[in-house]
Amino acid sequence: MTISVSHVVKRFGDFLALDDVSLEVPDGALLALLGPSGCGKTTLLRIIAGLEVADAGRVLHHAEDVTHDAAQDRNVGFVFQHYALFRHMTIADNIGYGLRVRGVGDRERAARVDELLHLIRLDGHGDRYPSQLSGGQRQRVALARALAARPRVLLLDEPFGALDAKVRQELRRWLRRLHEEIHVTSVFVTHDQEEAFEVADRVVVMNRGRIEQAGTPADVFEQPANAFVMDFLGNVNRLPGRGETVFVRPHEMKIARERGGDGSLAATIVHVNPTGPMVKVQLRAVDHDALIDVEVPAESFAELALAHGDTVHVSPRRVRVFADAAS
Amino acid sequence: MAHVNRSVLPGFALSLGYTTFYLGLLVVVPIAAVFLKASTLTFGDFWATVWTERARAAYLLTFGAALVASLAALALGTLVAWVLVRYEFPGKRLVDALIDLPLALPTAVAGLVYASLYVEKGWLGRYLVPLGIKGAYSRLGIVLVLVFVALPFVVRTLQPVLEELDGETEEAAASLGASRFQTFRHVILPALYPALLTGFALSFARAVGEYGSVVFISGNMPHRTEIAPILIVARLEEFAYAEATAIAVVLLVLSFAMLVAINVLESWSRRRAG
Repeated sequence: MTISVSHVVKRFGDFLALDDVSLEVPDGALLALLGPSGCGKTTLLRIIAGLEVADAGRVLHHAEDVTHDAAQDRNVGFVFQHYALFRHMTIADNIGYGLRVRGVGDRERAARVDELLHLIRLDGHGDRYPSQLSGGQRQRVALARALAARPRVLLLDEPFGALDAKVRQELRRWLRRLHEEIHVTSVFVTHDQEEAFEVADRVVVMNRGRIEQAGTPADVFEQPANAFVMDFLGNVNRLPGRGETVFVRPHEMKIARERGGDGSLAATIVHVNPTGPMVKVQLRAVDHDALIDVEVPAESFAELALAHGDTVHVSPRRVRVFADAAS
Repeated sequence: MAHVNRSVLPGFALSLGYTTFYLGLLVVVPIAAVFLKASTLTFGDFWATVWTERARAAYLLTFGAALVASLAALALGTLVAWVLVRYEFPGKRLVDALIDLPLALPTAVAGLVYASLYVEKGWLGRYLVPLGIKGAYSRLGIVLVLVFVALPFVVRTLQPVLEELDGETEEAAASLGASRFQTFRHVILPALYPALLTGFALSFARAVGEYGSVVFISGNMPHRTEIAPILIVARLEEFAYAEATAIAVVLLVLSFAMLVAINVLESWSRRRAG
């Protein structure tokens, strides 16, 4: 099931939430809509689901135009950030709800619910209530509920946003594996680039109601299309070049005791964070009072015998320049 | 080791003392007095007073009219609360303020106004009476004024609960394929049950206790439109104080039993609602 969105516009009063957005989600893809809050990613997801109506443009599920179909007729699975489970229903009734409204018989429904309880590793929890489960368990129930009626597409709105870091990590991997098993075309919204890269096989970066770049995680990270994407996808240093600003990632810089060639900057070490395989060093440029982040492997950090207050020379190994970088 | 007070606000013993003292003074002592006064009758006299045909008709009317009125108030009040929470419209704040009016208005005024509207020559009565709808000096009239006095209790109980309903569960139901009616029936209504029961209990209790408005609209015909509180007043006017309190005891016991039953239902549904 492919999803295509073409020339969608959505306004909320004076605020332009989506500005002529077009997007293709290939069959069986797991696509991440990534962007800062207010960029329109959730609105786009809700328009695909039918929970919001576009002011202009079309939404197609496979070849079928669903632009004017209500959510209940689109056969989509939707997972909300805060689970949105039915609190007065048991876990089994929650999961089976989509089948119940479709008139599926009790026995068939019970069998499918058991199958899904097994899939989300909550066998035997069917007669509990949502309030008796942890956040991670609740979100797995919400996912099972969304999948029960075998939706054509699965849509997830910041599905791990309300969970703590460890559970989030677990659930990301689990979602990835689940997608490999069931291969339903899925779109999920996140503001966390790490999450997008870890889970998705395609990433769409959005900003101010527009799509900035779409591609595989490697494409987007290695060849950012513009300054916004470069900046959003990870820590980046903006350094003065010849009449333009150059962008350098912290791990693409090196530190030397001696002055290097062209592009080398004198800087003083102001902070060192030695945890992890890369030592994170923060420096202040001697000439122009800018903070520079550099990540160096632990071995070279030890070889150089760097210490707080040392003045050293940093130089970029790889620089990127963008036409729109004036901002 | 010295006593350490671990609660943030001190004064538990003092405030509990005050609470029980005032409850005793305001509620327990008067009720005990009612029972004491009634106990001056022999059981035979007591029974002969409280179980006459006229008294039975009055109890039936009191609880029956209160039941019908609070059910009607429940339906109407839910609708009003829904409109006030879910929609924006001009004059919404005024409507919201009007809801509380029955709480402030002397209910006798409501009774008089309703009676004058629904009598044969009244503004509404001149159209309704020819159709056979008698709103004044009838049981229907009693129900009408009781709905008026009970409505705010339902609206004010449901409003905060409706405001807290999370629109996402409704969207979840829709995305799972539920129709609007199914969403209401399966998702919204069950979340409202505890508040609906509370609203019902409050308005029912209020309607059973209502006197001022009913006295003016019912016509107070024994066996037909006489409610139990009016019967009590009738006894008082005959200086039959013990007999009057005997009827009060019956009312008290019946009301208390119903409130306990509703409370049990309420806590059960609250547990279900998680």
